[in-house]
Amino acid sequence: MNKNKTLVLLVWFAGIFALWELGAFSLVNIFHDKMAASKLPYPHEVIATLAKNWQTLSEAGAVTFSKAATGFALGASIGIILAILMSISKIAEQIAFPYLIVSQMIPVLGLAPIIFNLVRNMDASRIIIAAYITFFPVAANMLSGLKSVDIDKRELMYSYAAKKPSIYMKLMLPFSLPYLFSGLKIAAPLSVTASILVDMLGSKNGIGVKLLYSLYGGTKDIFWASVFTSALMGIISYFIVIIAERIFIPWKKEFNTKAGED
Amino acid sequence: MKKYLSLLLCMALFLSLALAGCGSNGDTAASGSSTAGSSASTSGSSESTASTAAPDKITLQLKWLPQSQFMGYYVAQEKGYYKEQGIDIEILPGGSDIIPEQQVYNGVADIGVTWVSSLMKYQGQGWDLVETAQIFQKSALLLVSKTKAGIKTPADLKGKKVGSWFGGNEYELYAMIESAGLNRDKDLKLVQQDYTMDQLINDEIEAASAMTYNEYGLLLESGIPEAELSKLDMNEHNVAMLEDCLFVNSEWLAKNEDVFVRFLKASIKGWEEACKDPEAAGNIVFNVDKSVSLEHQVYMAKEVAKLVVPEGFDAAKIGYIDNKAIQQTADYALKYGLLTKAADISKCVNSKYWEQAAAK
Amino acid sequence: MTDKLKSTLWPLSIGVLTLLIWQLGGFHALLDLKPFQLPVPTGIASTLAQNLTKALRDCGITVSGAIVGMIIGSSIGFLIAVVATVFPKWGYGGLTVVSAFNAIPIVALSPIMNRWFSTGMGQKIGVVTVVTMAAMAINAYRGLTDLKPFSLDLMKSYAANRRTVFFRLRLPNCLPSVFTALKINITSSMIAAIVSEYFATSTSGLGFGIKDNLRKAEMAMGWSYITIAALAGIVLYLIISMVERRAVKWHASQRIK
Repeated sequence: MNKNKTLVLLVWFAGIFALWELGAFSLVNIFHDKMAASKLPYPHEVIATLAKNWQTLSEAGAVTFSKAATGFALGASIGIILAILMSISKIAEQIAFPYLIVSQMIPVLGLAPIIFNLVRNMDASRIIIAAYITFFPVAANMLSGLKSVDIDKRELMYSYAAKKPSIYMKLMLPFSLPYLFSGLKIAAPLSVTASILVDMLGSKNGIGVKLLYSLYGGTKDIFWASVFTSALMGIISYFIVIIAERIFIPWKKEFNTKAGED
Repeated sequence: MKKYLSLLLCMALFLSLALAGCGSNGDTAASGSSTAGSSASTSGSSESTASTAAPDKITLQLKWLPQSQFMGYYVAQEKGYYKEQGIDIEILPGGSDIIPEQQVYNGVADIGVTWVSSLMKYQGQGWDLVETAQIFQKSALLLVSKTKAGIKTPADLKGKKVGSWFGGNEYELYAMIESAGLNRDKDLKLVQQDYTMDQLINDEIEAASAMTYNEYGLLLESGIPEAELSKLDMNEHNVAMLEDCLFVNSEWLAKNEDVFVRFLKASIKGWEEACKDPEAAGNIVFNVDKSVSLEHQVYMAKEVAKLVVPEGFDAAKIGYIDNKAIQQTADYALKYGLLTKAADISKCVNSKYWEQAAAK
Repeated sequence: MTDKLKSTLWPLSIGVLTLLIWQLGGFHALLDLKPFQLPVPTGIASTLAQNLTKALRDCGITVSGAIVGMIIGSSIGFLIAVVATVFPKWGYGGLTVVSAFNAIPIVALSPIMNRWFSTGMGQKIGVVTVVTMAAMAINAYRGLTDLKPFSLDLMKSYAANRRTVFFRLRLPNCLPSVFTALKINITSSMIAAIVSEYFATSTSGLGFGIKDNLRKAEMAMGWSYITIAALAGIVLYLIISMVERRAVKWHASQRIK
């Protein structure tokens, strides 16, 4: 089973690598595109740059990833709390949801000065901004999970004279867990993006810094290696959520292997 | 039920706070600096500390990424000139979402670097900021095109696709376009450039904005020979507006006059040294962040030196504010629509501190 | 009817209250801001009124780019989810790959897309497509696989083949998840379109207006663009939830009163 999975993963990576290599090759040799290095560089060159600059890139990646983890924890907690509040009270949902959308429409460029002005500390501001970007998909997914609990099941619980907290603990929360984890799967790579974005708000270290400096400084190879690193961090964050899902929803694992084999 | 809920809320809040706490601690350890918050609070106290006492914390906000454009400050930091003046400096990099005027006004930074015209705009809107030193004496903006596009004079821009970064960087172009008798809306197409030169290389646009010290060098480094490029220089066409200057919040300045003069002294010394030996300065900046090639940092340092100490300019006067050039900047800013009412130069600029610092 | 009235009255009254506090300087006092840092609502409104035609034209450009990109991105995401469901062993890797795309920031994606597409619109659609794929793929996959207990056994007892199971059971079952994804995507596609316009080879769109004006200290103008963006986001969201209400009437999430 496990061996099988590793094989699948390997085939995927090999396939993407080959496809990418082919794409880069045809840009250079078939379409004679002079911007080929900017559009799609050879993956082996990107990996070579990555290997050559592994130390600086991995250090920068670690800084960004730890910040992403903080932003993710904060953002996901806020998202979960908001979703529970909105599912308890229909009025809370009606009031909050439109404004949550409005909040997502304020770009960092407009928001950052206000948060800086309020917090006056760059590091705290960066974490707040990262959480702000992360919380929305978690809240939206969790809420739709909580709302999807069958009304019959709820009524059954009511008929047992179950109290609301126990309904939440025994029925609603377990039921909404798969939805929550879908939200977390979207939010985890997003928190990496958010962390990269706040790196660009005048940080001294981090993948975002590498990305920005190399893009504007004309060092294309480091730029692509940084893009590659950020994608890699996205995959890692995604796998962390999947592992957490296996731990928290053990019954889903069994379900997963069954799916599609019908 | 309420009790349960509030318990849950408290727990979640506690958890997130705790996480935020360790997160920020970890970050501080990793980046080894970040004292923006504390410096903002110390700078509030007005006592002027002698260099023997604890150093004054000063935060400098750059307009753009750490690069040789700002080499003077990095040289002064590296050589300990700020320390000599009893200043503990922190240099904050800029970026596309960072606006120095706002950072300084907010108190995230004490001193900022920005373009004069941009500063005038903020001053005109009521932001209580003042320019205190002029680092670049000339405009570094070029309009670059490939020679095959045949753009030799501003009038040749007619019918062309021309790039600008906008956001306040477009007014010298407007001045150039209109001085050639062209209408900027009808006679040519102005489009936004991202911060790379790829659009020009790729022939998506025919003329591109470029700074002598950065983008023009990137073009050369990308393999286009200088002979295949033609450039329109803002200074030659007499539409130059001033760029990098130092500015502060007036309120902060009133309480920190002494510290600020010491900062200026150290900075001027750093710039002097950098302009004397740009090669070494480029190396110092390269060591701050290695994402941009050493070759490019040195190129930039050499070009920036020409702006800070132009031919015939006395190197002892680095930072001098030329009121005539400031007035021209203000006039163009008004004429081409950045400002809605004329700027009062005497209020925008204060040379007093520079004079004290340069007196030695 | 009263329910419907309530459901619009509540958010509306809170909104009015917020605007009132904002207008009277409550936020400025609380956040220690000056009106020229964050303009008041009447200032934003009057600036917006003066520039309404331009702002609406810019809004149209951004919204159309966001919608086209979202449709393409969501379709690709949905296809990935279908493949992952039908071929669980080999297809599941696709989900991992799209989520990797999600970690590439728009700031890096935009210049890359600038190289691929020479027009601002093409670049915008390219960016939005990449940004919206993952949310749809992950949500749709959950909808396609997270079936009610015994429903699969029931289908099997009817001797339904895989095709029937897919169209009769899985597809309807994933509809609510698809709408959840669309709700997330509508906001992320708008913000992606806006941020991509910071770097686009053009001078139109809400993103250009926001960036250009905020950098130039035209705060009232910048915030009126942000207001337009927020309104557009809300309208798009309402349209999606209206469609949702019609499409998945049977689902629990629509029946709770």
